[in-house]
Amino acid sequence: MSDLLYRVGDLVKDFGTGELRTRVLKGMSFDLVKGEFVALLGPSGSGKSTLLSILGTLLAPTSGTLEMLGESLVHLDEQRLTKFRNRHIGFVFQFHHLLPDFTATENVLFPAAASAGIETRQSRDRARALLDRVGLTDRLDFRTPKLSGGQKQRVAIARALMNHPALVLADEPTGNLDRQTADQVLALLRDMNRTDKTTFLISTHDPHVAAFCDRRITVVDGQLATEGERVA
Amino acid sequence: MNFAVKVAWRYLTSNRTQTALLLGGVAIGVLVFVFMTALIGGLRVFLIQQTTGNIAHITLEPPERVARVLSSDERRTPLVAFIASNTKRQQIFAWQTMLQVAETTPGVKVASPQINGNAFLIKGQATSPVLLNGLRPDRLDAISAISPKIISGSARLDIDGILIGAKLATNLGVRVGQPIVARTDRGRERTLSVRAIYRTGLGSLDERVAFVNIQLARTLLDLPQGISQIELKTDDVNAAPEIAAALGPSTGLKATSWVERSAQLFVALNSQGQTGSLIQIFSLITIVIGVSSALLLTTYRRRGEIAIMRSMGISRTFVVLIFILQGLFIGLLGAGIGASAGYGFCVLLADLSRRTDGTAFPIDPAQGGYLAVIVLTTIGSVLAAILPARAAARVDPVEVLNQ
Repeated sequence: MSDLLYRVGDLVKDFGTGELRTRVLKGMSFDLVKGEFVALLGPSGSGKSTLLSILGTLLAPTSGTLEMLGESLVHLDEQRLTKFRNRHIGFVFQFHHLLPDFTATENVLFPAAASAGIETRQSRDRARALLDRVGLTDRLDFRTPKLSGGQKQRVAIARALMNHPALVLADEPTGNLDRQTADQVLALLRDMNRTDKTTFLISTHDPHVAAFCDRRITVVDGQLATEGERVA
Repeated sequence: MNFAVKVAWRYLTSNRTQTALLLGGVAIGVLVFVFMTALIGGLRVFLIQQTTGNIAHITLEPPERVARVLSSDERRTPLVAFIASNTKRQQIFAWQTMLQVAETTPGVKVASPQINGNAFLIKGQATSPVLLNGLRPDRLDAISAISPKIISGSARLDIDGILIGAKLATNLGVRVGQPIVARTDRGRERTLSVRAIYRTGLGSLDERVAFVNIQLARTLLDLPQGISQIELKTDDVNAAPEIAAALGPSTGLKATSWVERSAQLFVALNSQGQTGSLIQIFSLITIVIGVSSALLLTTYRRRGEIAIMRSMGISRTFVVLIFILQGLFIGLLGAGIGASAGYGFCVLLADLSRRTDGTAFPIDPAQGGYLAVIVLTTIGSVLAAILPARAAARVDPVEVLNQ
């Protein structure tokens, strides 16, 4: 299938060893296709965050298969996984996690500049264009502690998109925002999804957020409860 | 600009108080290093100057008698013996030639031919044993500057005059212009007039040595042709052993440098140098521990940011580089500040302690070991950053971000 972005097969994740071993993900399989806008639902402790960490190559699974853009990720070493993550995956966190000593522009261009080892004019222009797109033209050179919660989250979204990733993993991206700001952020994510054909997987508790998405994957007790209908 | 350099510099400048304290700590360590190095270097120069200021840098003496091998036909065993001679005294015969050779040797500043011998100086019932040192009048100050140390009389080495030290004058109870009898171990005696009394501060010179004209010494010590020794001053005291090694074979005389005669001084200087090295090493260790602990704290404080970087796909190498570069900047800046402050402190100390007679605290600001301390501190700081950098690279992004 040419539109296939990510294939997860029989994913298992254990924490601890021996008698203390706890199985958090219990054999999970699903696909993500390019350009999807997917909600990842489930109660606290169901394994959503662990799943996102594994999909984002931050955490290795105990067993199972992970295949993104045709590449098997379980066999890549740490160095190649880091490079893969930098090139193809973006993260948006609930608490934005920006670098406080850097300006909005510097935060956005960070993934590209740190990877290349140098801050190029192209990367600076791309960062400014993204900040312009998320409505922060007048905050380009502001240090992030001086921005509001909504502005910070928009900077985080721009940063996640800096390297033209195929997949953005968002963990409760609106969980720390008021409803109005949350709607603006969601609209922004949706716009990025439609314009750039970037795939979004958004972990959330919020049915309102889920309603924004094309498909809803529900995780309960480490297993896939529903995979949702894919929008044609 | 390299992006890692930018990030490292931004981290250092974002917390100015902590960075200033850290730089201050490194600078103080470097200042101590510079101070100790300048002090030890200055003290070494001072002690060598003090030691060599009033003594010959090289002494040319008659060669020691060597054992001669005597054949023995009966026992077929060689016999070795010193040939004792009561007819010849140890002296340098062709001394004018030797003096010329010595004076024309590169690195030799001045040469002084001397006739020395033991004598008693007698004034009434008071008697004192002395070394009678016969000098050419124009070379009176060649080896030990006597003229500036004269406290009474004038530096005239005429044929019936004598210069004596202050302690000797007190022992004998004589003043300038008074007569004094000199009786040598050759059995000759002459009444001389005290021309001057000097005080060098060296007990041996002030109490046990008296200076006379070399012609007078020749008569009193019964040495009609030769001389006892030739003393030399060199342009560079450190070159004396090398020049002595060359002069020995070229003159056929026994050439001894001041270094050979001052073995104890070098033992003391080496011990002092080792103590100084220990203090320098401890200064560097303090710097390394200071930088390492400060950067470790920074690593802990920035764990969250490191986790964010790792989640962005920033390599561990980049994270390590950020901390190594911080160590490099701290080392370079701290060493620069400390070396400058150390130089200023040494110059200030040397100036403040300078007395009217020109003497000063024996510290030499030029010998602060600046390049060495800057290089060592920078290397030390970079090494000190390795541990924090490795700790930073090991940060687990999932664990930190979930907190």
